[in-house]
Amino acid sequence: MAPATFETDLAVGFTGTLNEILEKMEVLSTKDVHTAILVCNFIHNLFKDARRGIENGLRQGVEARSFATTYERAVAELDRVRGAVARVLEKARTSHLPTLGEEFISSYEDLTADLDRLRQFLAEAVIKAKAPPRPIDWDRVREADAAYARGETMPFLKSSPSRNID
Amino acid sequence: MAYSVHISDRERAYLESLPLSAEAKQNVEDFIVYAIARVDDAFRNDPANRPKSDAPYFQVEFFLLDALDGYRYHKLTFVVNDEHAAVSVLSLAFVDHQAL
Repeated sequence: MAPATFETDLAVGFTGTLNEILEKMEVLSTKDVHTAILVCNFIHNLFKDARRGIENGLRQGVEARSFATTYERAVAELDRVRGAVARVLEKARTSHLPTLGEEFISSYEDLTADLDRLRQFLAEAVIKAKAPPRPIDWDRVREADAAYARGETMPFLKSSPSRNID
Repeated sequence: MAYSVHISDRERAYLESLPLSAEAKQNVEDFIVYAIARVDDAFRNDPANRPKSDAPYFQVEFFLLDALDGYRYHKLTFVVNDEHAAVSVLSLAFVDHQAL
């Protein structure tokens, strides 16, 4: 009921690309630096879309356990991406990039900040989704069953039409 | 297959009194109509979703973010009697709300 978003999966898939940027940091050409900034902005936008998609899903509501299982894994994957971005930043701060050094660093810092916010948002949601339900009031269950047996229940009907949240 | 989901006046009143925005209440209703009424057998029969192994109930937890009421999280636990599932009828036996 709560699939990981396409954007999250795609963004996580860029961890390898970040590692490549890290390995080649010392020999990046001007064109490579431009590309690395574009990659960063692309990943950043994917995570922004992912955040919007997840939040919209939560506003509509999800099955709690399925959500917790899916996004607990996503939090761990985000940590891997966060680690890769941090290593790129660390190396960039001590390397001499041929051009756009400040833009490179600020792009990756912005991505780091948004990753941290997304991680915090997801981790909090997962913890709350995993909150144990309160004990079932079996007296109320028996009363509801008795009402059904007496023909006193009605098929559930919505009180108003659905709306889409986008 | 869609089940007809029955509800007692008491549980209906409980749902109507939930401290949620109108949008969130609508989403709770959607969950009953589109998720509980269309629950698949695999979910329903999963022992992890049955509070008592020898009783005709399954349990499902609905989790939502009420963005129009302070961005608070809420969880609703539904216990559903599926004794008459064979004739396409489910009955909401218990609903419990937790503000998280």
